[in-house]
Amino acid sequence: MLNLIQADLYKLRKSRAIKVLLAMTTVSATVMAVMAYLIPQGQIDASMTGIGFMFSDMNMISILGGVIAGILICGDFDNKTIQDAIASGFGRAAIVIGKAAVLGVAVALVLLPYAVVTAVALGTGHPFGMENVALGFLHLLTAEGGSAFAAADIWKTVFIILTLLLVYAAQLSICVPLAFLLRKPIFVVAIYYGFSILCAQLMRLGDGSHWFGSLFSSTPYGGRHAFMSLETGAGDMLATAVVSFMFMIVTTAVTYAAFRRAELK
Amino acid sequence: MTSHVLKTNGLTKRYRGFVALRDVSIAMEPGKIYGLIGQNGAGKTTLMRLLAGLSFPTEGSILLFGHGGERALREERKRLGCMIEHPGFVPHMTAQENLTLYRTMRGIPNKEIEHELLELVGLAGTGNKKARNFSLGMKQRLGIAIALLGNPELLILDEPINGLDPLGVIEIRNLLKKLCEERHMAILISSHNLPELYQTATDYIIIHQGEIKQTLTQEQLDENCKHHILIGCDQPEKLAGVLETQLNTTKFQVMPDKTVKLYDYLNRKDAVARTLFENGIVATKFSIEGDTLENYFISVIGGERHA
Repeated sequence: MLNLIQADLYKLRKSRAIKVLLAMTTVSATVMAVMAYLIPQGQIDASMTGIGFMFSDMNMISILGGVIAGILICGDFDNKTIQDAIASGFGRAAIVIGKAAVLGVAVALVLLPYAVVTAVALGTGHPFGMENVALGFLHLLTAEGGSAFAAADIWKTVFIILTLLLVYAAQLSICVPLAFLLRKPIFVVAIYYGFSILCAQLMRLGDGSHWFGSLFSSTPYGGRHAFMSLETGAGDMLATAVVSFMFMIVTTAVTYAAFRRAELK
Repeated sequence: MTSHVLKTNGLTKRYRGFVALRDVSIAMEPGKIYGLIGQNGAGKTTLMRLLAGLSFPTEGSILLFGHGGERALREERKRLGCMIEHPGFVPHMTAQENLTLYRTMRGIPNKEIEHELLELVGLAGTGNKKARNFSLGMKQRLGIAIALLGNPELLILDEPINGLDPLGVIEIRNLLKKLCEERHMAILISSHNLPELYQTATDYIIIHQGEIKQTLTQEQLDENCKHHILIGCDQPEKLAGVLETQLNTTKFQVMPDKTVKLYDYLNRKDAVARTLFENGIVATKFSIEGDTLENYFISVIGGERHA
């Protein structure tokens, strides 16, 4: 399995598409931070928050996450890398786990500019704001922008960033069964984007219904998992990490169950 | 201790009622090149996919290097090299990068093998050219190079000479023969180019509508191809009827030029001549002739209906 992961990482390194996605998230992260800086100062109208959200990590990853899964998994069905792995004696479980792991790494890599930009922006000590549309890194930026940082806060911020990357990787792990079953990138991108919009609505539903809110918060899409700040306690961060890991295990298991006896062309 | 690299027993594959393979039992030995011959849809690729683990048999079993069962087969597949249907490679990478990728995936530490294989298949000079810009023949060569990574003991190649120029065909033929002789590799190769296959294979497996019609060695094929009675007459339909009813044989083929190739009664020409005479058929030609693999294949799968 390590060989499979190593080979996938080599391919990722050589992939122009991943470099383009990385460039896109770098530009978007910068635009997001600049808009979040200018809005509270009144240099940009507050009504522009909708556009600002379009450049945010949550929105970008809703679109690009499916693309990454498409490149990594559907692409490998097209160029027969997965078929070759099976014909070379790799078990299907190893292939699924390897792909899920590399998808997590690729998502973290593509989101890295958001983590860096957020960290740098917080370090400036300026206030940032995007009204009430902020999630993920944008939420961390708007919640903590302008605060004075203690040494302990720096470490906590690092842990929050790592936990947020884990949440995103878990959210996108739903693309693993989609990609293994559908094998067409266009379907994976469309379904995941639709699913992420649905999740935003379900989050509101969760606010009004206690039992649904509890149920939904046991997935990385619900609860306060994408709303982390320095206020978030260590227990909540741990709970988020556990929920994310468990969700990734479930999606990987579902993928394996579906792919175990799948016929390949 | 088994001498077979591959043995299948009653292998059957059904897709929603359609039988793609029926009761296929074959055995392959090391150091031989097996030509898998069949029409489109005969079940060649289905058989190869089952062997490679890309598909699962509905019934029957596969033994690779003497081992069966899911877990053991997976382990034994590490001794396999495959190129099934189209060559698999990453289009945005060069030939060398593709070999690095697949070498890493298979855990082969020897980096020099990349250059050796590129030399072997004639792609050493492709430099920074991406695989997506390769010609069909170059893609085939890259697919073969990938299949050869890790010195496989059983090589499965589906239409490997597809798209190759005449010189390329000769190169690949010589390469396969060399691998078979020097490394004692067993090779299963399918091709529609029967004259070419005739020059490459040492054994033949003829498959038709999912069933193995015949397995034979080169010697047996030569023997069968060399001999048939070529009968020329002005009433081929009547002759066909006489052969079926009077001589009780269906081993004949009515050719487009109205001659009939009779693969039976080779040692009893007199009986054939007498029967024709007794039934009022005037033979304008009556001689023992040779045959090609192509014609032999057609005769095995059912005569003129498939010609």
